[in-house]
Amino acid sequence: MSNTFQRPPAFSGTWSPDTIEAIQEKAELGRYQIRGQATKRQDLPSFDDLVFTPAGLSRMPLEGYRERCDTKVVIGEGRVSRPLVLDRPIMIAGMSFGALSVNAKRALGIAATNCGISTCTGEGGMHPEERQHSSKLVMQYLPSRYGMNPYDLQKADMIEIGAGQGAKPGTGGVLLGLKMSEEVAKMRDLPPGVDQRSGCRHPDWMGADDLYMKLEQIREVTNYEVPISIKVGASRIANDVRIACKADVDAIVFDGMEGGTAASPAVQLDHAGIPTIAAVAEAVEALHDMGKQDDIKLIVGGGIKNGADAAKCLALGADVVYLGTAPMIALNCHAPIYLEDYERLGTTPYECQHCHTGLCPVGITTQLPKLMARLDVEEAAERVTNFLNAMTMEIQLFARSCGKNKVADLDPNDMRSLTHAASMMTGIPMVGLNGRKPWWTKF
Amino acid sequence: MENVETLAIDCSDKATREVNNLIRKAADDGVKQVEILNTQARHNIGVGILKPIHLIYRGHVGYYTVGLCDNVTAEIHGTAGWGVGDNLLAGEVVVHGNAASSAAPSLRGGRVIVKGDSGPRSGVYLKSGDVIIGGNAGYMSGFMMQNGRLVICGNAAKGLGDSMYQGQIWLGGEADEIGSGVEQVDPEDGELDAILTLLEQHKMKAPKAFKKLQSDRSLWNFNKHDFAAWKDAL
Amino acid sequence: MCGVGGIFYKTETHSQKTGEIAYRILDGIYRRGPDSTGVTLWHANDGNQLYVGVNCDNPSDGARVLERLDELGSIRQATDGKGYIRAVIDYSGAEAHLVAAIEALDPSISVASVGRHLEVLKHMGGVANLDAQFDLKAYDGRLAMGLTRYATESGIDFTNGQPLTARANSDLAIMHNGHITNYHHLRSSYALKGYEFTTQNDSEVIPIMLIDEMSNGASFEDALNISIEKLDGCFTYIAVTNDCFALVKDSYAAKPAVVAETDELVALSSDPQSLREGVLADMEVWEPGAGEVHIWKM
Repeated sequence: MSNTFQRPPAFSGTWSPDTIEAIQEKAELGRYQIRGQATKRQDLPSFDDLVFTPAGLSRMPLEGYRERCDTKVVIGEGRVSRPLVLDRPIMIAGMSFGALSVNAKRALGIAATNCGISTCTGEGGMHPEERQHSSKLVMQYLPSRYGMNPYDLQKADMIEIGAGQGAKPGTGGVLLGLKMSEEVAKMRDLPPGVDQRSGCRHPDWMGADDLYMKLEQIREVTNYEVPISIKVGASRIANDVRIACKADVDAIVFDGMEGGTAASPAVQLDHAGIPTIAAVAEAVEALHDMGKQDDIKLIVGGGIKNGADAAKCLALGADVVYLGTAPMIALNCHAPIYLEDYERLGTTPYECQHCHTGLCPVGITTQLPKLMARLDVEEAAERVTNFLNAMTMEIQLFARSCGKNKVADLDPNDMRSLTHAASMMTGIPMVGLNGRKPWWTKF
Repeated sequence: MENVETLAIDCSDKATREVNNLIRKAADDGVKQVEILNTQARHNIGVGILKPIHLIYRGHVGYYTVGLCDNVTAEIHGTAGWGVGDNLLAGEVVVHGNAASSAAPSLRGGRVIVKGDSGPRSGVYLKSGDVIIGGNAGYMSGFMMQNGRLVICGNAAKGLGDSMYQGQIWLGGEADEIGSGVEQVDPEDGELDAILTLLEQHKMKAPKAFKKLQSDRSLWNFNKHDFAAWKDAL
Repeated sequence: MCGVGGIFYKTETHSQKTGEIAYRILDGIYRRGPDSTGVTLWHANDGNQLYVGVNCDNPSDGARVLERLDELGSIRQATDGKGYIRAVIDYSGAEAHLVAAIEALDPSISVASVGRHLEVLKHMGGVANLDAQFDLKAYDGRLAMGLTRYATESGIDFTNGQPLTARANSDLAIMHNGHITNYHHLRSSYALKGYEFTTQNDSEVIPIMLIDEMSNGASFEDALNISIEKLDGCFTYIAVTNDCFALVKDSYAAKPAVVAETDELVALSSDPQSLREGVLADMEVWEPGAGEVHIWKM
């Protein structure tokens, strides 16, 4: 809701301007607030709390090029006949056609192909343009089964069974009316213009005991050719990993609470799920408990913003990082252009969280042709390619500096924690003395 | 010690520091040459000698022989350890046997000549001057060289000239793999003459032909459109 | 970090005693590794004798180890090296049983080596200590390869000292100079497969990797080549079995090691200086290149 009243700057206290505004909005809407992007919390422990401890005297760093860093990851090796080969330990996460415009999907596909990685359909089915532009495409298999059909499953390079996402764990997808265009509606078998809600759980398997049969079904449809993963919002990690292992998926995907969305209940963004840094540590530990750390791949996302985050995530034990918001920003999200349109939404570049409105000023999260046209596919693809390249360089820079010739060889021992909280969450010792009694306490 | 033509130094009963001090004093006093005996592959013999003198090593030497010197000439009758001729500013070092890893690192002038084979990283960070190898050169030779000439009569292992900025590599045999940012070009007339003369002077057998390699400049400035080249280099 | 080196005699008669040469080589590379010194000695074997070396980081436990050895087999010779027990025993049972029985004595006691041909000896500090405890200079067998240790990440004690063997197999010893940077991942993978680790030392993954590859059908040479690919970090290592030994270099030739070979002998060392001192004054040496494996049959 836009207003011309200039809100005072925030101050701390129970009744902050944000809190007051939330109540006012609910009083108007009669429902919870919904918005896009991600949590606004600034108090979450993150990868920034960890630092690398590169080679010094006790280890040897590697020079560039010849002493290069291998970045390849294979999902499903030795398990399926057509494993997914990623040139880098990065995948672009599921963002639906519906949430994104077809131009955005095209651009992401081209960039992913340039970089030898995959995109993911997200909810709502496989758009032919995405299949055409992405050389590697993961198809999501979600509770409401919008757009689901066996042909598209057979066209996919990997299937991701969605059982939740970081931005709204335990609940289903949301797509508001303005984005339910004719085309989107047709794919999803819905009336155009409705506020789509998705189921929060699969209708035909309700727990771990049914999951292995569902998995078998998907494998049958895809002829045991492609890897199958299960995606969960990061919450009850240890137990969820155990179940996924017993079901014998090829990969497990965790999305931390910092994970992005095109539309989620605001209150869930901030108050549900656990931080990505804790999620990955707990997931890796659980995989080791189950003895599956070499067998089942771990894909982790949720607010991964640069190669430092990615490298730390990998060092903690993830095999691949899942990116959603970052490539969106590389596309043009938050670009300081069409400023009047941002203003009309009551926001500005760098603060905008209005993906859910379908009025994206830069033409990414919209279905309106006039706005969609604002995203030049080639240019946007180049921007995302550049960003992914930069990120890859950052990742291998850390690996090399730690004396590793494979990015996959980064391990928790290559890091230390700056904060107590992150140390408790990850098991990584703090920098400095880490609780050891110093020399002068003896005297 | 004035007017002494040759000073003999027996290393067997002297600490390294003493040997080097004796050499420096000899240079100060205008002694023409020093014969260094019983070298026993010791390290750092002949380091930090900055006045003209000729050193004759009668035996094998260890690490950094003739390291950080200026205006020094030397002949090593044996094999040399890591880093022979390290950072030489001017002068000439001839190794009659083989040289181990990192021969003539960061050479700044003058010449280091290895008649036998030279190990990995020969001529690494070469800045000026000539590194001449009669036999084969090891992995990553000429890595990040900045100028000067690296001459290899025999074969080279992987990574030859990787990331070189300027300078030339003359290769008589084959390289297992050329390094990143290197291209082969045609030599100009007369370019080889100086090298062939040097080889002849030192009674080293020149190969039938030399290939000329130099930087292709692809790694001079970052280029976002060449990710494959920059992925590991940045 | 460390220094590695040693001597193998091709001939029956030795112009100098093997142990004396090994002593001088290890003394020559003391500066590369002042924390502790260890050797692998090869013995011809006529029958049932088993060479056992036991880490005994509480030296006062030495007597108990000897007592246990006496119960298990009959002791031909034994030395309590004050921190390390050396024994030759007559034993025809299962080696795993012997190892378990000794290690049951105390968590700080572990079997460092057990073999029909290879024996590992270790002590703290330089080779002089090792010689004082175990009379290295008296050894005149065919092969003595050793290591002077510069601990990087694991403790300076007997348990973590090299040479290292692998519990799963006897008669394989490794001396490693460098640092394996992916040892956490490797250890957890091998632990899953059932291999047991005795030390916190990153080097311990090397003998286990070789044994694992060979148990999958690889030859010794294949296993050595595979290790160059699978190990991350920097390494030059010497591997000794009951009938051959090898020198392996990583893909960057980061750690020095030279070879000197005549009709009489093969000598290896991180530092050629130690060979000239240790073996012959004017030995010709050559340095293997990056990623190379060199094997000699005994």
